[in-house]
Amino acid sequence: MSEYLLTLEGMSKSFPGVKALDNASLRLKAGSVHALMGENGAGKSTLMKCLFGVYSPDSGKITLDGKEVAFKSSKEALLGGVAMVHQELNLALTRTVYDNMWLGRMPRVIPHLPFVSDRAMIKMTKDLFHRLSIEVDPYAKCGSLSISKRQMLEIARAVSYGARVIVFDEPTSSLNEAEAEKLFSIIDGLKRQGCGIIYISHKMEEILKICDTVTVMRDGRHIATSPADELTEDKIIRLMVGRELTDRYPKRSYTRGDELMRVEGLNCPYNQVRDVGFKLYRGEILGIAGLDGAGRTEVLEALFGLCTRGSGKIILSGKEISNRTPKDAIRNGFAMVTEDRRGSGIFSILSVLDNTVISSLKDNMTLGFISGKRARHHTREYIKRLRIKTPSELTKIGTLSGGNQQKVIFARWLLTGPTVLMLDEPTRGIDVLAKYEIYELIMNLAGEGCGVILVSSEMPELIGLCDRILVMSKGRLAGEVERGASEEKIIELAYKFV
Amino acid sequence: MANLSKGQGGDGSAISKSGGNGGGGGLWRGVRMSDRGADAIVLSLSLLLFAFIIAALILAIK
Amino acid sequence: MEENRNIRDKIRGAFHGYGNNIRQRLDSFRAMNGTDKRRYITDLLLNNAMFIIITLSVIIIAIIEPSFLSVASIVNIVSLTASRLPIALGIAGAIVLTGTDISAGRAVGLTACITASLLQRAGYAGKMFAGIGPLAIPLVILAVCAVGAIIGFVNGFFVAKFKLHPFIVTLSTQLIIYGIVLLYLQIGGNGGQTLSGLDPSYLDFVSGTLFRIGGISVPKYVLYAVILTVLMWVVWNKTVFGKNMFAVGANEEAARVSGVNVFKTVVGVFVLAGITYGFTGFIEGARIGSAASYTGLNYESDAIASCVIGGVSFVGGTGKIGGIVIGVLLLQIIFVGLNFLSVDQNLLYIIKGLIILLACAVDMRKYLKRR
Repeated sequence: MSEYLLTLEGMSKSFPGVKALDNASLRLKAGSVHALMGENGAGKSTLMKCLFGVYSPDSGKITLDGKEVAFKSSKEALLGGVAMVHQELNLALTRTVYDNMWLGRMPRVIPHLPFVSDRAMIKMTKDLFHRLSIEVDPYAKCGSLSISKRQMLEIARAVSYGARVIVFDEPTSSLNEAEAEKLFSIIDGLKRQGCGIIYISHKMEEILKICDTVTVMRDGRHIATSPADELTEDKIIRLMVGRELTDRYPKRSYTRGDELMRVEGLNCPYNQVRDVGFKLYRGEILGIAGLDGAGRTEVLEALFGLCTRGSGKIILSGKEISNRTPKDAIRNGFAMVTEDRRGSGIFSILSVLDNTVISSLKDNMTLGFISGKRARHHTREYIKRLRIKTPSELTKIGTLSGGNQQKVIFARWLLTGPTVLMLDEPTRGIDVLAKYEIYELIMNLAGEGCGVILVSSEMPELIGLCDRILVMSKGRLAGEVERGASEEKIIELAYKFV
Repeated sequence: MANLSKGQGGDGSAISKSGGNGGGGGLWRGVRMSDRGADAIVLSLSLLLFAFIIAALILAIK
Repeated sequence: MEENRNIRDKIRGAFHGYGNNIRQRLDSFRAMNGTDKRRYITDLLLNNAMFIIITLSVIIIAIIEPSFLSVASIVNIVSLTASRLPIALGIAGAIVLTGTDISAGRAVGLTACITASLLQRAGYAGKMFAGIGPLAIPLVILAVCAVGAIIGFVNGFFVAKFKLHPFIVTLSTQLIIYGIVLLYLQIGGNGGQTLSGLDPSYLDFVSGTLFRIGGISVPKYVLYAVILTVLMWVVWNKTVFGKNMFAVGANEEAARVSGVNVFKTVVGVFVLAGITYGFTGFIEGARIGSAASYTGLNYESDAIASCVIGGVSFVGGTGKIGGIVIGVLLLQIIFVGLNFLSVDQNLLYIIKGLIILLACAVDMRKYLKRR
């Protein structure tokens, strides 16, 4: 066991309705770069959260240098020699590089007196940067640094704490080629100094280039670990994806209707969406696939008026519309179920009733005042129709299970009588039974003539439900596949511009 | 610590996307507005203020 | 000789560097393309809108009434600035922490009353503490700074321990302090009146002549304010506490993870603010010549406005002492100027409100999250 710097064995973690980790494991050698791969939701991040004490695992053992450890927070982990390089976090952006580097352990002019020596901080920073071949101006304010430089700062911080294990999470997703190369040379330097690196990434080319070992996870389980030089991209994809598609989806029969909506040349100035255009037909379930950060949610947000649209046309039933705000969008018949139920979906201290009627208050008014009777009637109708399990419509929605909360959100939007229903990860964090019910609901809605756009990270869900699937890659449309396409084809397209 | 509201388990690959929003409970967090909106507000307030100052001066001289 | 040359070289080097800086910025400006240039100029104009407006106003006022720029007037402006500076320096700390402190004004009032009551001249008819003569000045200073520190501690404790919003906490303490002031004024021979009949040594210590310029005397409290400003600068920029304050304001979580004691830092910031309020109260008592229940009323609104004008942003984690000085100065200049021409008092309220709104809008514009 002492040949390994860090081991995680038998890690399991369950949440209500979801088994996030199932006996997962990872063994990291000192002086090596170890890739951790898997689809969205495969358990990579959960595994790391267990390592850093963000979650406490239901079972499993973590050892560092042969000794068992159980960190209860990122800070504990850092002091114990295990560090994570985030992309933008944990930096005080208004402060200079050298202030951030030595925050909490600033060198004094005279020991024990509270006066800080800026000169000492700058010198130590310069020395450290020199040792790691990092070129960042110590006087610069962190907020003005590019993501690439902020990352290097985080790496330097980790090293300055004496980190032996450094975890990188999608480090190159915001870097250009030159910056990525710079990162790789720094990682190489760390490797040669005996650090163990865990490298989480979707980018197979990179992984095969700089990593020594690759571990693939799927559905919370450890699938395979193998030296990088024994793997090819195809092999990795097969490992990430290989599963049976059982009859988890309701039967669907669909013939394409008229064109309901056409999007042309969608561009957003403040995110990466570039030149996206597609058609949506009546009664169709259109999926949008792609890696995390490919811009799927951003496209929906642009269509719904949640983020600024630089240019582009939306044509609904032949008429050009501009959904500048969500209010416009709703008036035009758009509905959006957001990705983050708890953050931008439910009002957790309000009742099921309030949550349901909030978007259709105008329809629940008599003589200019909100009619409690009509609101209750509508709510009860949907509680029955969608089989929402709740003691009553006045129950606080925060006490319901995820699946039932999601159903309430659906009820909210259905009450607005939408023509275009946009769903962003609608079944995330929901148990299998509720998922099926939601799939049925989606299919029924499509059957009634809605156009449904479905963003999902679960490949089987997209393949099982959708009539067509758009694949996004780095903010652009990489391609389109029809029903019956293979997961491999979709992933291939997802990597097109990566 | 990390922003756990990205659903429970089975979430995306980014480990913790939380972070310093403009001061938790500060007098304002990052306001979302278009460039032109903000420019318009500052410009109109500036002109309004200047107008009042000039008006005050004119009234005082009379 | 050698040393002198080194110093001369250093100064020359500094100017050279400054000149280079300007040249660099001019070059990079010329290098920008059309839209970038327009944006740069727009940013420059809008970010400095306050400065531009006040400068223009001052020029106009000076044209109408040239004595506004006389030595007497300028000394007056500087003195007023010096009297308002300490409280702004104190409140700035709270703003850096993304909070605020609206108990400042009343705190100044309380400490002014306490100071006055302890430094009334012997034999004054309505003296509060009839038996004793005026106390030693250093003792009084210590006493009111301690009172200010206690107020600050209470504020900081509730903010840091119970995570209550500073606005609510300081709103409560503001009211409590006011009650205490009213009760305090009832003590002894005073019976609720204004405290006056202050001892001449106290008056001289605060408002006596520091030196004369063109026949006009500059009061001593200008020096005290300068000393306090320098001390604050050292605390903000050169101490662990100061650096921690900025870190907590910029990203509390990052500070905590890095091992900063957030609780101590927050409490410390409010205590420091409280001490500046005590200091201000001590000065105001003599400067005005009396202290009453209305002393210090609304001082915090000017202080907060000065801070925002001076670049201490509400998003937290940023601010410069120099900016605060300029903010206080600008605010004083415009109001002295307007009063110089006997402008309608009612309009002054509107103007002050607009100034605060504008300062906030400029600040907000700098920290927009583009979406």
